[in-house]
Amino acid sequence: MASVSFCDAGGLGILVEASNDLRALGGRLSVRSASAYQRKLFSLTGLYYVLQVEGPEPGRELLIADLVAAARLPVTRGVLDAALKLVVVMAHAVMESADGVSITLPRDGRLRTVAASNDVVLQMDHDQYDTGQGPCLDAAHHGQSFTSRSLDTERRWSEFVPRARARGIASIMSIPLMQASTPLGALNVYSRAPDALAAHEHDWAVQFAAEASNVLIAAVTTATADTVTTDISDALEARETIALAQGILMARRHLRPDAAHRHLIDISRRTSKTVLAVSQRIIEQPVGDSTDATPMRDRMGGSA
Amino acid sequence: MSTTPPGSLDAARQDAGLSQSELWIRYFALGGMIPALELEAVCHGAMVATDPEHDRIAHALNERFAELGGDHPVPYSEDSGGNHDPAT
Repeated sequence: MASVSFCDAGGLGILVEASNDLRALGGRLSVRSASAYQRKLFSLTGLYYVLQVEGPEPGRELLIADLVAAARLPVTRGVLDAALKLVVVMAHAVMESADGVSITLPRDGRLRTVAASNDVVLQMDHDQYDTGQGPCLDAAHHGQSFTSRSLDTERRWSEFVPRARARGIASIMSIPLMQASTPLGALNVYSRAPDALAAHEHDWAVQFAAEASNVLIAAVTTATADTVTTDISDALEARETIALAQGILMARRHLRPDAAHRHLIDISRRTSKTVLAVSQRIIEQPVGDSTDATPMRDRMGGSA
Repeated sequence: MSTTPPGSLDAARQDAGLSQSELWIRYFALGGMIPALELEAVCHGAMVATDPEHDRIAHALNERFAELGGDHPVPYSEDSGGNHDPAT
């Protein structure tokens, strides 16, 4: 992974797919030479051990937490929901038995689903809000995990369970999102198969619930922080644009990642345009147009 | 080999009128990998960044100075001879 300068959810999806294919053949995918950023990404998404990433797993200073907490941003509801949606998508991707994952939070005085991996899950949550009962509500209210391995034999939640079974759901797990000892909401995992949510999947769910809790704690902590006018989504978009331009330079001019980035900075300094503006121009440049000069020493292996 | 004086990045940040958060966002947009709290430590000279990361910080500050009508006063690693610990 040493030469990979950018990896988004699509890239992670390819790695997970390759890992699953190899596992089906009796093999294992292992990831070597991952950068600190990549290791954080693997850790955040719960893929660290799934992909057998070489080296120690980073601590809890995860990327999403960095985005919303360490930057001390005033977290808008949109940013918060996007971060929670990422947690849900990754949890769904990692837990093989899960047919759906959602996050429930109090909004406007009542519990609502703020992130859901699909419509069935969303409907399942609404069934619980409508009937006023279910594992999701219990986890969010009592701060404890509630699991039903088989709804066929479930005696709790007499109004909700028939609705869930009618939607084809057979087992449910709800993990509370906590700030210290205070429940904030719940992460819900649904499966169409009974007894599908095994112990290790419970561990995954707890891990993703912890990640969602971190995001929420960050949001609460930063609600009164300094006003920051720059929007995080703009920064993410800029970062992606710059990474793309860097990739284009690496491919077109055979540059190493750092040399490509330094080249962007050099052009920015020379032209008094921002790196973002320079990057946008490079992306728009047709292939073969190399109007900017690259010092020969920056070329890969010192040759053109 | 020359050294970036401890705290000079933070002094530049203050001159540029950026909060730590604003600087981190700009640095992050440039592809920076250092978490916000560590960036604060780097700015105060408590930690040393690699040359590429230092250059991202310097450039984030310099783009801000350019917005304010100034030049690019924060030196890049090449300008200072590059003394940043590659292991950081």
